[in-house]
Amino acid sequence: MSAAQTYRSTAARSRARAAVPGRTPASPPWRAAKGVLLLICCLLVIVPFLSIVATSLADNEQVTEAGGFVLWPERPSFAAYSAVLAGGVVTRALAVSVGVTVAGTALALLSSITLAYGLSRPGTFGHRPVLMILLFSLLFTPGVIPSYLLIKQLGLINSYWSLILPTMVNAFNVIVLRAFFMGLPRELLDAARIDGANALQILRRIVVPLSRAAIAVVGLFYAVSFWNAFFNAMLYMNESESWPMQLVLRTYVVNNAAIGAGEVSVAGAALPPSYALQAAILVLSIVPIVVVYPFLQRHLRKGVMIGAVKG
Amino acid sequence: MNNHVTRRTVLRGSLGAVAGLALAGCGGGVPAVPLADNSKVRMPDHVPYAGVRPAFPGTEEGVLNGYLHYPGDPVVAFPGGPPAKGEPISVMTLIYNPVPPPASRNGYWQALNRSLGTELRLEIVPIADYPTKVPVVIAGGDLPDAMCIRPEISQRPALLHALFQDLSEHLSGPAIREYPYLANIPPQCWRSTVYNGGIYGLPMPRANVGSVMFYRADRMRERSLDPRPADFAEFRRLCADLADPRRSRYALGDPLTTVYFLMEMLGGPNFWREDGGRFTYWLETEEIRQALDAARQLARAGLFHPDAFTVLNKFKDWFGSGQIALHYDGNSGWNDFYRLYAQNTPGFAIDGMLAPGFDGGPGTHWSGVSSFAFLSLKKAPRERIRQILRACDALAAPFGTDAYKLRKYGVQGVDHTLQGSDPLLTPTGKVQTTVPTIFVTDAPQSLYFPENPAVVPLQHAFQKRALDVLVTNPAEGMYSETDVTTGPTLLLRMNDELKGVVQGRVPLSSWDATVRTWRREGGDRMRAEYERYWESSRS
Amino acid sequence: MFVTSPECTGSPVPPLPSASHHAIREREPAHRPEGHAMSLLTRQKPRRRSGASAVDPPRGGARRDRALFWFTVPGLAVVLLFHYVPLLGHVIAFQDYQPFIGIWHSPWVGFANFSVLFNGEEKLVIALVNTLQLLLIQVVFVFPAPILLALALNSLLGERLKRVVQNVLYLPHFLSWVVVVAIFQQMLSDGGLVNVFLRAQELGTFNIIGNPELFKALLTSQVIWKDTGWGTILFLAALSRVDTNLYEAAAADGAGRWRQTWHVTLPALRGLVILLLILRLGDALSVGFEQIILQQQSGVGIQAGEVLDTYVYNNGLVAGQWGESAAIGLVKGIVGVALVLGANRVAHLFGEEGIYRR
Repeated sequence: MSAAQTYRSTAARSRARAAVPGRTPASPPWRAAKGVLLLICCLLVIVPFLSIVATSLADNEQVTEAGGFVLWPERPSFAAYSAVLAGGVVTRALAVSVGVTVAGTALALLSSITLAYGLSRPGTFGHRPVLMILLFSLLFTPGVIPSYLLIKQLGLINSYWSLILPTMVNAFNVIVLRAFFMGLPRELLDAARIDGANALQILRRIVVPLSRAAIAVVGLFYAVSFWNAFFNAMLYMNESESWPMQLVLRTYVVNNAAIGAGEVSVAGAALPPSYALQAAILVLSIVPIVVVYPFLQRHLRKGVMIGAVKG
Repeated sequence: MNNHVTRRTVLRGSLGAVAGLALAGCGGGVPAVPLADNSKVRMPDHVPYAGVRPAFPGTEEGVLNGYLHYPGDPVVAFPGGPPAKGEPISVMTLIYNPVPPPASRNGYWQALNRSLGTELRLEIVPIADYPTKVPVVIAGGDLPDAMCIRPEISQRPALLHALFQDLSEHLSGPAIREYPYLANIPPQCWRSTVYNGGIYGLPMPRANVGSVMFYRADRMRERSLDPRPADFAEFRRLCADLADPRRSRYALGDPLTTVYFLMEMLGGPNFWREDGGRFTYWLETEEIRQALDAARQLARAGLFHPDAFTVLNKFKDWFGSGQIALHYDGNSGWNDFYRLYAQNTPGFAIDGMLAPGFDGGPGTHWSGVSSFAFLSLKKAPRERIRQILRACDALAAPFGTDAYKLRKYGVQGVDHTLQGSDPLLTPTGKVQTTVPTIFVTDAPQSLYFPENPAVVPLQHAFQKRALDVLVTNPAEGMYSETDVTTGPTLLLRMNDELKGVVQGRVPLSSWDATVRTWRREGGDRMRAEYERYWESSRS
Repeated sequence: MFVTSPECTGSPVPPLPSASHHAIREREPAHRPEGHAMSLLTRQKPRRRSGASAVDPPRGGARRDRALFWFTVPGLAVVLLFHYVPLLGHVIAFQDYQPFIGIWHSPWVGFANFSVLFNGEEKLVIALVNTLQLLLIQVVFVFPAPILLALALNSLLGERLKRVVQNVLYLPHFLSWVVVVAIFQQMLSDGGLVNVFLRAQELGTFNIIGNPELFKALLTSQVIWKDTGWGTILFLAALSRVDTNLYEAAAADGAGRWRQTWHVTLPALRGLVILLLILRLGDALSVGFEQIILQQQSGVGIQAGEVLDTYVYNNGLVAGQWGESAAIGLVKGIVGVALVLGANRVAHLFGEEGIYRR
């Protein structure tokens, strides 16, 4: 009896105070130490980031004097942002990026979930060879030229599909997803099967709902990779009108780095873009992700809730 | 000629063993196409444009024309109307700037197209990605009508021969007179367009004068220092007088270009020296040891910025903010520095310092690259080639014409406003006019700075003095496969060694070993290739 | 069997009658005997399983098998078309390939393109040693960092605080290496913020950037700074699935906090950790090319940070050497295959599943 009492009281206490329900809370000094450590970690990240934001708002004089990033804009202005957004190139590219990211992530999740699900039961027909094909695709990267020739053969040059299809299935993501799927309680799947559910129904009604956290993470991985991708667009999109944001921004930031000593004389072009401009670009390219991430985080938490509900 | 045939048959698809061997030989870095032909090429006539009188006339040797103001009534470049009527022209080229708005939403671009009489379809690639994209497009086989060919493209002679048009019949000798503005391009710019016994492209002219050792004239005046040191000892003293570490003030930034400047003092070779057909690289000379020794002295005296050896790409900003007082950069930096930094610094003033002789007397000055790259045209019927050349002729219309004004400053009232007769770009203009026509082809550069015309006489005077002691690079316009492929990374490694020695991290005594490395890993092959090329262009 | 509450690593549990339609609609995992969970604390390493087919009911198995296979078809088709078809282009590893000549007509050169990797130069040996050192450092310091951070975050009081912290820490992942390097230089170089401050206080300066001895430490701290927060995401997803009953059960068993972590939290991560470690090994020969190239000219000397990728770049893989580049890709891929298969075998020896079963 006493064991049961202890159990109940521990459970109650932990539900009240611990981040993870059911977990014994840590001792105060340990918690404090951890808090301080995390605070330091956060500061190490926040300070440079605030400095990037501050630089994007600073004027040229201050930036030049500081020789790069500043910690606080003395005379804040949005000049850098209006310079980047002038001419509508970046806004147009933003639309392209959002479109490609949304469509790409949706298609990628669809094909990756089905692929991972198809591989989630060892011993089924074709399981081993398909898994190996997937695994080896991580280890060998095709060359740029053959990929280009393929896209050209398929008639996808200058088509947005060329930005989605080649990167739609990432073996790493599929393998991770598969691992999560395989971790689902088997009894549940078997029970559903005995009840006459077919494979598709099991996927839709059990596997996907129970794997929300994993799907959210993999979705985030895909979304970020579509969002950050510029290389395929550089190869396959000849019209700068249909470039995604990252490629457009590249002409602001990376080109600057490409201008070495003496190169400017030969190029006869271009002041190096100011640090404020570069910082503004960084902020612009990160903002959408910062906006989207909390929505995904909700799914990560849901996983916790599922575990908690049944206690 | 035999070699020629072999290559052609290979290209047609015969995979004969002999042909295969011949090609395998190319991999070793031997130019595949007979070099001797190049000496027979008749270069385009040079017909300098005389429509506008410069305030400070240039010279045939390469001093640029200087202008204080744009003519109030620009010369009409094409009185007969748009010169290149016909099918759209696609050009693949690169950009250093942020990418401009596309033609459909860019009034400047549309006006440019109207003035040409055709649609200029630019496939723009960021400079950082250009070396990746070019081979891919070439492998794909679907070439644009014209393409910017950069020095990093390998197997250039064979590539040009296989895919691009030999323009000799259109440009050689008097033929170029049909395109008056192309004929205005100085002869030295055309040198790098000659391959396989033909002219394979249009140059993108740049100033012969190369780089400038800029100094902050305001800081010199402030401390009453003489910006014209007579020898190295005076230069070192000047640097010491400029340095004030407690106030984060130093004399020098980039250690590499400082070595260049010291080499100019010592009269060392501009990368290569040619003497009776024998080529010597600058790293092999006695001068480089002396320059390195001198640079070490400067470093030991703490005259370099403390981050000079660890941080890249900050030198311009250090110079602009006054943290360093001397900075070696391209001559177009002259205007750029004023645009970028003058508004922040009251009294901001810069000028160019010419290297004095190391032990007194006159020093030397290294010439720059006279053509940034060249534009090659895809093989096409004669009439189509002529149309494209007419379009390029328009894009090379020089300073003083209406076409130049439109190309550089866009539409009046939208892209620029007039200050007197001088066009000043509006914010819209700054965004729209970055369409990279300068990487298609261009007129010879000119000295002109409407924001601050007083700079022009200084620039002109510097160029005149520099041209008097100019040292050219004999390898310019020659082709060495090894230099194209191994050259850039070998150069990076050598730069690392140079910086290491100046910094004091690497002892000067190990320099012999470094030079041996350079020779072994490609230097000797480059030398041999350049010597062969040089010889062939004599015969 | 990787990322799962530990009960699933136990012996096959027969389908429970209680796992009814109702339970499924509630999206609620079947509950299990409490004693099962508690027994975990005393149990040794789980035995390897005999394969999932054991739980398949005997009838209709083959048909269902095929049904599952069809699910792989769309994804598989994408991989085959966009990855394996262009991979055929790797034949140019044995050619003197030139883009304008094409694969069909470029001459064959045998193994000549591989010579850059097998020329036995001393510098290559240095590069390999550096590569392995960095790999080791990364496996020891960089790889566990997100796990530790995820554990710390997971046990953090307050859901909102946890989310804020997480939201901050994953940000650096989105900065390119150029920017990360610039930030580190801005902070730590001789003229950087830290040293300017120290100099002003007359505390002496730290020579960090441009110090060859600290170069590897610098590289490592950059990687940790950039990717640790991001790396936690996967582990947090795995932790979110830990059955909280297990903590209660463990607590009931009298397990303290550390033992709870050891017996409940870590086993839940073990499969994922091993999986990721094996996948990292497949990429063993790549240790931060872009990051290093950007900093090789920062006064430390090329040798200090030369790794295989940069060696190849600095010594052979230069403009137009398509054949060599393909050859190096092939060799790295083959090494990756060997390491992945080997690591997977080792995982099997320890009773783990790795990426695939034996």
